[in-house]
Amino acid sequence: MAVAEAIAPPRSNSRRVVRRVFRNPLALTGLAVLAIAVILAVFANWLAPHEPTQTNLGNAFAPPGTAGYLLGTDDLGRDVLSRIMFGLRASLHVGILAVAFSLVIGVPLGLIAGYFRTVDALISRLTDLVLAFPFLILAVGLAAIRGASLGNAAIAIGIAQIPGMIRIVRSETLRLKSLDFVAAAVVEGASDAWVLGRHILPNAGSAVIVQATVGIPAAILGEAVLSFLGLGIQPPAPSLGTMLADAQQFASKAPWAAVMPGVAIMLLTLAFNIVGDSLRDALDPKASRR
Amino acid sequence: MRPVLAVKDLSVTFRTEDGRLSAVDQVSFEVADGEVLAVVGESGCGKSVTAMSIAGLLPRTATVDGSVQLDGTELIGADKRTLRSIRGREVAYIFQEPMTSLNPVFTVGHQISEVLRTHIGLNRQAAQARAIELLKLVGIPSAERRISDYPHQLSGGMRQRVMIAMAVACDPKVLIADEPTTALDVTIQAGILDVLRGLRERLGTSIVLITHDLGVVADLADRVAVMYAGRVVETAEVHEIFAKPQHPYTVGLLGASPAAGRHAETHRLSEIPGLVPVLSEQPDACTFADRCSRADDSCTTSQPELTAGVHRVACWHPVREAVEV
Amino acid sequence: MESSAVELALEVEDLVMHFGPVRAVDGVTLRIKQGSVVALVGESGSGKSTVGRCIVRLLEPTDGTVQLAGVDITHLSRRQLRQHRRNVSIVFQDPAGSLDPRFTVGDIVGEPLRLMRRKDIPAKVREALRRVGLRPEVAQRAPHELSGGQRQRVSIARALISEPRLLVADEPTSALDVSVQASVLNLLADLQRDLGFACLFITHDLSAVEYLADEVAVMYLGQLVEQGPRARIFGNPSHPYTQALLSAAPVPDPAEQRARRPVLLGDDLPSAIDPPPGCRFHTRCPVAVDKCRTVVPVTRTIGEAGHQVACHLVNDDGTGPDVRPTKGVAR
Repeated sequence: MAVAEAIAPPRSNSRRVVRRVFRNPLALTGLAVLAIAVILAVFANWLAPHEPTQTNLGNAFAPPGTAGYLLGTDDLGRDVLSRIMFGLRASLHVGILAVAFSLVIGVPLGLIAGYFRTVDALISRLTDLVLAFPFLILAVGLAAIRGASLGNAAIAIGIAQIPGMIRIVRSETLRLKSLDFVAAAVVEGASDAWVLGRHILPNAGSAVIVQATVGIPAAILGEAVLSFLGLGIQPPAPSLGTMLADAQQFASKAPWAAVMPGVAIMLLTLAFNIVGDSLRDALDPKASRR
Repeated sequence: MRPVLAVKDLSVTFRTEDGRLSAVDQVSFEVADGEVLAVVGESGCGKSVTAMSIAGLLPRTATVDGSVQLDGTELIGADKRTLRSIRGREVAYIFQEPMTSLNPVFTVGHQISEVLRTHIGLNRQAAQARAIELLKLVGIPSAERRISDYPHQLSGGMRQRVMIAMAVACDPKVLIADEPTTALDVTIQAGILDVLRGLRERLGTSIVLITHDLGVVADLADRVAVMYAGRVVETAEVHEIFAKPQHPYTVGLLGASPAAGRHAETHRLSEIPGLVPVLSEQPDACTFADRCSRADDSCTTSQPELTAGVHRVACWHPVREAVEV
Repeated sequence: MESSAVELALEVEDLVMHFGPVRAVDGVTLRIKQGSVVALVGESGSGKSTVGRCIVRLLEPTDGTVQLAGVDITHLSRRQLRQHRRNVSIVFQDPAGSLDPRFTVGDIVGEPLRLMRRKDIPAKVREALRRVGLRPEVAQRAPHELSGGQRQRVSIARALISEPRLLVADEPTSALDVSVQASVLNLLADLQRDLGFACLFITHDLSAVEYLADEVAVMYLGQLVEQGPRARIFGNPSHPYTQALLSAAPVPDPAEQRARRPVLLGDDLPSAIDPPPGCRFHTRCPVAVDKCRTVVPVTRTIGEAGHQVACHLVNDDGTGPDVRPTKGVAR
């Protein structure tokens, strides 16, 4: 019998991914910004110094640094900092909801399109159709039918993100399907469901995670746009987009009321994109070799 | 006589995210005028890194120490201008995969002519004529017609012939052939080996042949250097190394390839237990010791140097008895 | 006919596999007796891997039949095939791509048993790993922690855990280093002797063929040109292509290698989209005559039993052209 070969010491894949992310200072900064944003949003009820909708006309247009109002107040005397915290909550809510929506629809369709050649053309043409359909018209249409709300804005954004998700999952499926471990499973008698569920979906996972991390900031920006146009969250509840819209007419008088939520949107999307990018690099096995 | 190529104490380390990696350690060898030296070893032994450091093709993550002299000119640490004038002109390189080394949007004639015009300064007509000559030299039939072909119109063997034509366009002193036939079928390989043999005979080009294929070595080489884990462990004249290998690794390598007329019923291939070590730092020991049946304490506590002479071996307990391979 | 079919692990009759205009396999007939090793030899583009993929039904043949242990599986559906999966397994060339990176070695080797809903899987996995020379602890490891040779052992363990009657090994050693190749070839030889499965060994490596195979079948451009017992093919090949192929493979012995002269065939392999008429090899054959350019040669049994050749120029007693240059001209 053949001699048992020595085994190289174990190297964990996920540990390497974590280590790579943590060795990258940019990625760490991004993660830190995200962590702060999530904490502020989740615990806004306790952390916010004021009620976000509480008006105080006597204290309107207070500049940043005014006692009790760190980032100043807006035209109705509402605390900008508190509104940003609650606005973050709305933004993250939309971002996660929209991406979840695109995952639920896009991942199965992408798997099917990539795996079964017969329906590939149909799904791919439908994808093109959605891509060609103007996003704003979709959002306006949805708001007209179902009413303007945060949830409907999330659905509109989610629909717009489905084609991207389908394409990523489809191309991953096509790549994985041609690999020998899938062929080996088929020869051993695996069904399509077994191959898709056990081999293809888990291996496509990292690409899906990356796509989702990039999808969240896109959705947050989308929410800002829709709320700016009045198609998203309804006043007086704050979102980063509506804050921007409301502050616009007083921009020369109280620039901070517009700048602060703008900076928050920028930091948040930047952080998500940085984390997404470094995840993509860290998950790429080819980059591990010298 | 001064050797055309003299490599002395060449060491290469790479910076990687897992730390330092020692790829080549204190490698020395010489190549005489018109000689074919085969550098043999398995993947990870450092043979390709050695070749690339001679041609100055290593990435910036590599640290190179030691000396590589081409006809008396030092290449390690030479300035860019010196390197440019030498690379492609005095030292030429052929790779394993000819398709990736040819530009798909230019005809092969254009690509060979460009080499001639930039390096030797030939005019358009002269370069064209010389390109046809070169294609004939590497055995491409109807070269006048083939010269206007694009790389994708050629078969794998033809492409490798074109690569060789480009490599010898400036009549280099040394040709480094890195696994030149590994990607090719045997009937195609036979033709390429024939071309390389012809180059040496007709142009007197020295060849450093990097390969893992002992059949190719037996066919073409004058001398052989066997590499293991970044070091040269044995070097000798080709007939000598096949007939009387002295390093236990060479013995194992030769016994591992099936020979003509041997079937599993009556013969067993020799196996080398264990794995090639990945080294961050070269130890003061024999790197083959943990896989070697002849190893004892001396092998793990001090590094054997290559012996002097024609047949040189780096081993504390070389195989002197006749081995049946 | 019925009784002989039972002894055969594999019977391929006139197999044809076309991919659109590409005639990858064009009429291959091949039999493998129970417990014997047949090597399918050819160069890239010869269609040898396609034959293997048709046999394990990763591809559905365009025409012809494939019988595994007497059962015609040529056009069975995936569901119907499942009942016959014990008849065949496959090992691929690339040891990295043939193991799911997200599975542990134990899950990979046990997968065929889970698909068959067997019991006692961990114990059987341990036994399968032991058989291929791996320690039981390896079951907890991920494929990327193993060397190329170890991964190929895992592939072999997975292929053999369902105790198939036929193993299709598609270039199982081509991606490995020489010393690792040796251990995998030794392992395949040991396992084949101990377990007695039949094996279709697809390869371009002639030295491995001589080491492992009982019979050899040589493919060129989608068709078999010669097949027969190992000793006959290596000792006295009849077809000019087989002669050229054997003469071109260098042997690791400088004295012998330098005394040989390869038959140089020219580099231009005809395309499988528009294969040459008549004998497909005539464009590169050094001894082709007019007949070869127009008339397709029939596969005939010549000389001893089991030796078949498709060439006009080979006589019925096995004598014929020798395209090899005379030996002894030292270079």
